[in-house]
Amino acid sequence: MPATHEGAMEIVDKLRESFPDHYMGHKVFRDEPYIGIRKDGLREICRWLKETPGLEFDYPVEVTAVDYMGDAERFEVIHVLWSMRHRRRVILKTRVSEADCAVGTVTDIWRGANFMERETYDMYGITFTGHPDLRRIMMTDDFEGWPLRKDFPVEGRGWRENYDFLPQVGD
Amino acid sequence: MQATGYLWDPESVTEDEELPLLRTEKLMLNMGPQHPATHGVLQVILELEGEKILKATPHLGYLHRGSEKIAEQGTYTQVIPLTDRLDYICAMANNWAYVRAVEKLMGVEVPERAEWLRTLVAELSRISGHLFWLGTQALDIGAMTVFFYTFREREVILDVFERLCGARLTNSYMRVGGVERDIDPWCIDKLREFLATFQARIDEYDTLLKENRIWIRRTRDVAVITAEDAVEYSLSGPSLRGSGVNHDLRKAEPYGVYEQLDFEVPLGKRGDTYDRYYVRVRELEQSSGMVRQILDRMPEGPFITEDPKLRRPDKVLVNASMEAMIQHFKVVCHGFDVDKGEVYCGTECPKGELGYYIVSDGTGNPYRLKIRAPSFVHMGALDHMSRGYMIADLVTVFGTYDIVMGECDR
Repeated sequence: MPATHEGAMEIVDKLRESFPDHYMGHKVFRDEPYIGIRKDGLREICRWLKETPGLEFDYPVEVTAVDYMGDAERFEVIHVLWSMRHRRRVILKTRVSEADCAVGTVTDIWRGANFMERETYDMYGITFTGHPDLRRIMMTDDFEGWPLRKDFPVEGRGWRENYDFLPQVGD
Repeated sequence: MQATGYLWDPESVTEDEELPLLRTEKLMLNMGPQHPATHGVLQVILELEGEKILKATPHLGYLHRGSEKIAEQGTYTQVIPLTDRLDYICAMANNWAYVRAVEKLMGVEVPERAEWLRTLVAELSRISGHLFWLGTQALDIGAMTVFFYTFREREVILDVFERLCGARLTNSYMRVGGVERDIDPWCIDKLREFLATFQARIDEYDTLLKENRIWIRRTRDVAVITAEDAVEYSLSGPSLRGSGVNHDLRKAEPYGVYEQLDFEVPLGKRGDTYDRYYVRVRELEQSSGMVRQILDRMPEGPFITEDPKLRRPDKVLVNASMEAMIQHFKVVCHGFDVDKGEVYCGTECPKGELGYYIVSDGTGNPYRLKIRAPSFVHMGALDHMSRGYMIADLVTVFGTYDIVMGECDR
């Protein structure tokens, strides 16, 4: 069953009916629904999406984040889900502020989300509450900073200048 | 006393007597990051009980180059060479996955012939990737011969790629809106020559492995994952289909010219290493069949879109006309702007679903580019799949994912 606009709207309508408090808005792009939800309802909605007959989003494709620096709620956590039976995709978008930089984990719903959440934590510093093993995954354990945040410099933080035996820029 | 392997004489122990207390403890063992069978730099901390794996903790990131951060600095075209370096075994497929995502975001129409060419090179790179996998997996397990045979065939495909785009591994052949250049008759002749013998070659690999008792004992019922677990752990590609889950994005969301091609999706039954091997070898047959169909049916026409914002003008024109030269500089230095928006696009690559999540802020460089690399996701299931097996099977487990650390760490 290829993705259609009606199919996408069906998911959006069902979600809006079931979770009127958590639904924030949606957009259908190339016949795929991108749904904004409040972060309190994330875990509940994910479980609902997985277990409701007719939806059955049993395959976690991706968990990631985007940094909109300057916005009040700075980060957007993105969950891409796929349904094996119905062959369609849904994208959930949750906003998180920098001060309260945490969102519920979905590791207990899809075990495959474990590494994806760890990577998001490693790159953005977003905590996934309830995650069983939230450690850095790409960077070393003693690394400081969150590399994919927009305020993380591309050129490093002058660590090279701290070592006088290394050739310096401009030598 | 006869040597029995016991630490005490079992016959001397009566029921009243207490057995001497044996101290048992778990053993921590470090494997890697430098290890000949890890296909890159991967460290696994193993918790062992004797030779049995209780827990395997992969430590990733030794090859982390920050591709996603670098991509935010460059234009959309400058990201294409970065994608080559993810899964450097089948770069063509990565290129395609990326340009498809950008095209999905922009809504670009790709000329007919370009789609056929893309499907052709993607299937060729699937063949080359699976051949590479077959050779190295057999090598890891101890069957060295297969390696030499598969690399002989892989060489032909790399020669074609070299002729086609000037590079053997880091192809950068795709462009947003088409491909970089057209295929020439030499490549087509070479491919027909290759196809004429390829089925016999696959049969040859089968004679080496399919019923080889050592191969079967090293792969049968090793690293078993059920269909439900495979789905929940987000496995994709042959690793998922080996468990019998019929999921292939070429069928589920047809792209390129897959809808017009006649092919089947091979499935396994048991979800063990042997079934994944079987699925990949059958995919070799399906892919070579697709290459044959494409060579027979590929239409003539332009290989890149006519949109002047996306394509570079012909070099002859650049030397002759001012406008073409301006267009050339504009396309090379500035690239093209993409309307504000975001998109997820997944593509069936040889290793699994390679997805790109692109967020555009309306400028010429991606605001956020997330690469969903199948090897990384598969590593998440390593612990689950290796528990309870012997330490020697661990090499089989990450071999069976067809893992490439360049893609895993990005």
